Amino acid sequence: MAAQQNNITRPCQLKGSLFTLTVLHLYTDDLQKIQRELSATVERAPQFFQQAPVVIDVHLLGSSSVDFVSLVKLLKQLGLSPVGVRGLNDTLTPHALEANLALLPNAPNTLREEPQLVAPATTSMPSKNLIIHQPIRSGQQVYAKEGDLIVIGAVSHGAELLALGNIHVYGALRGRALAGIHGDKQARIFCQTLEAEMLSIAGLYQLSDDFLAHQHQHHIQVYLESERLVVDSYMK
Amino acid sequence: MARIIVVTSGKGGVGKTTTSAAIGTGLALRGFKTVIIDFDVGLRNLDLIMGCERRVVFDFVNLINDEAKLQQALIRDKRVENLYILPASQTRDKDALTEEGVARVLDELAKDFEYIICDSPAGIERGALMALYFADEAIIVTNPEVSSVRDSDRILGILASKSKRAEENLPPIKQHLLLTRYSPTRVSRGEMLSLADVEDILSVPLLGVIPESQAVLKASNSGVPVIMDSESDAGQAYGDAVARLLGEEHPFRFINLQKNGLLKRIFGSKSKEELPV
Ligand SMILES: Nc1ncnc2c1ncn2[C@@H]1O[C@H](COP(=O)(O)OP(=O)(O)O)[C@@H](O)[C@H]1O
Ligand SMILES: [Mg+2]
Repeated sequence: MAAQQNNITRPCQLKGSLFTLTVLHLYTDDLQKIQRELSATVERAPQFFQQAPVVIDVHLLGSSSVDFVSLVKLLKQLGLSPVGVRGLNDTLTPHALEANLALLPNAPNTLREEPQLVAPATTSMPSKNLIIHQPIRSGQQVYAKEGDLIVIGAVSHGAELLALGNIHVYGALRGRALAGIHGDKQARIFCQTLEAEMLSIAGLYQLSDDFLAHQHQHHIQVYLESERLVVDSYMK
Repeated sequence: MARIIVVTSGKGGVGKTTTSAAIGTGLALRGFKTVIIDFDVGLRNLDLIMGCERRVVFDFVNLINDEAKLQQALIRDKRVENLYILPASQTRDKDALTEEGVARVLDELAKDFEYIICDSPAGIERGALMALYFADEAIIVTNPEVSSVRDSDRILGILASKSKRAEENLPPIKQHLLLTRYSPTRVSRGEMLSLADVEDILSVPLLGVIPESQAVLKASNSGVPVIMDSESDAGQAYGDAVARLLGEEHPFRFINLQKNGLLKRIFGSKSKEELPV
């Protein structure tokens, strides 16, 4: 209530928010080929593309030069609304700016090529994960230095969980949880009920006020997407 | 084998001393030889609530410092057989409670007593740590409000990490939740946490719910443990808690809002037991 009144007394305010955007991955800089491919797609689902905002991802193009001004024009003709570009190298950046495109950070997985399947180890290796079978109380700190932290029970207000990897709480998470504390951006936090005071992955954190909408919700996961902490349900 | 039970909470003024006096007296009334120790060095409350403040000559700290014999310091209760009180010192501070000293006194008491009740001071300092360190069981006294529940949670963490049983990897301290000063009316108005809320946050087995009651003040003013007022709601609730501590099963009372007088008026009052107490 108080927050809303605040808004009214100010003319405007910048606030962070999360959107799902369509990403157009370019595998070629040949605009004609791109136009043919896209026209076919747009014809199949015209409704879907009505002024849909798109991000252009060029990270696979390497050193080829893209004519962003023409590309933007082309996309607009097809009813799309290009908003930004990501995966740029230094030579392409001025061209993108020329076309009034926002520069977006790289997707976290653009650094990885193909997902690697890990072959089963031939010798058995003890897991470095830490499993706790009791509630974590206020004032207690648990640290899984070399792997995931799994808590079977509730984590109280004023308790703190730290893990090199993921954090799983089979109970209510009411304290603080910091996953990927040495910078693992793939780390996630899972809990049965979210009532946390703080959530952090790879050093990016949010306080309870930042995820109020998700407080007291069940089956929650927390992960990083484009350098932002995302809190949502893993059951959807 | 003596059972050492600590009555603890973290927060002050929630009813630890009231509870120590009631549970200790209840166990003695059931025939168990019981001693209640006041660990609240510097404040001394237990002897007032037990009505023996004028009989204190030696105290717990005298025993720790080898300045008195056990028989000299123990005060025998005049009303209840098998019940003894070991008062705290009013003139020392909590540093007087050394681990070796407390261990020695408890060892000596354990030879003679079946239950040793340790009335803990508030906080998480030396006095509170010493009161819980040697415990076999813990009664966590909690009021239905956020700050008390948080402090209880903190104490539960300390029981699980800083007690002798935790440090020596022995079976953990048996934990009991005792919710005191509970008022169903105030819960229904949203002014207090409900029993379900507290159980959900602390997840410790429930030993009892003691209602907010005038009888407690009356009892402590007259130096009689409230459990001896068996007519009173709080006295009966403490009686139930003692029974549960001994492994008996009893339904929980005084946890729901009493029906208002209307039904009673319409249907008359044939049976006295149906009246709210
Ligand atoms: N169930 C109860 N109903 C009403 N008053 C209570 C109840 N339990 C305790 N009190 C009151 O609360 C105050 C603190 O109780 P006490 O047992 O001395 O707490 P602590 O030892 O935890 O500091 C005392 O005035 C006592 O009479
Ligand atoms: Mg006290």
